[in-house]
Amino acid sequence: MDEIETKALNRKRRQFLRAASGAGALAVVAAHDAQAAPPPVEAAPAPQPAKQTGYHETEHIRTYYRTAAYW
Amino acid sequence: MHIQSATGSVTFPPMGVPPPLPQEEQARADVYALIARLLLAPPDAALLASLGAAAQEGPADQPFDAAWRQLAAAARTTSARAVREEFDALFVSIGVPKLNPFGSLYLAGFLHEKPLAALRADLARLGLARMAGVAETEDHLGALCETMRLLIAGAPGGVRQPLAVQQRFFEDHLAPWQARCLDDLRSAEGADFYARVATLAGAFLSIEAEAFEVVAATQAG
Repeated sequence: MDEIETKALNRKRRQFLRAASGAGALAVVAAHDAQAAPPPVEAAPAPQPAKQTGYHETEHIRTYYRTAAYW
Repeated sequence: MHIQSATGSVTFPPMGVPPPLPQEEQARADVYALIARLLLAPPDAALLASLGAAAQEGPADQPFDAAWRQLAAAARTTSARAVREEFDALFVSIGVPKLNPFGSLYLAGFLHEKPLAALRADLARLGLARMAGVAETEDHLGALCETMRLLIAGAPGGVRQPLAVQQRFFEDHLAPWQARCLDDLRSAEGADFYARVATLAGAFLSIEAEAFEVVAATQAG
């Protein structure tokens, strides 16, 4: 697969992920994306300011779940 | 910032910080991490409070969404002590625990059987070895979810794996038995908070399976 195909495929997959999770944790990113196109991964973007519409549900619990470190 | 290796996996400089993932991929990693965390140990009060605060607006029109809200509601009404007792009653026992969430048991009928050996071979190829002192074998459902998180997000100094590797691992080691195990957890005597964890995990892993199919179907067509 060339790079363009891969990108289209990733886009399709992410659309599915958002749709399938309803308004849940994965889907909150949809609102985020609607405000600003996501920066390309390679661009090493500056940290995004915290937004109320951002993907916050699981982000703010990320701090806690490391305690069961397995690997 | 990163090096693309011949296998397509991305390595980070030893002291480097991984570049940000696309949000959907980070969300996948986070949900895997949460499920792993809850399956490997009961949540403490801080994690319960965080879960309880994760309320959302609007209707829950998808199974994952509904499961997420139910777990959040349960987290608001229970206590860390009650959940710990539930966890112990389900997963910890001097005799035979009610739940043995190990792939080998579900796939081969016994613990420490061939499926575990196959898994260990794959983990060795991926350069993963469990931390010293960890009691659960690698085919524990929580350990497998934690492995998925690492494949997606990498770790400081670690390696992110491309989607095809994630899919292969998922289909070989999780897909064949996770639904049966989660059904058992959901219907286990005394499961309340953990029944909701099982529902959330099941809904999420269904999405994962379908999302991998999106890729497979597109590549085939």
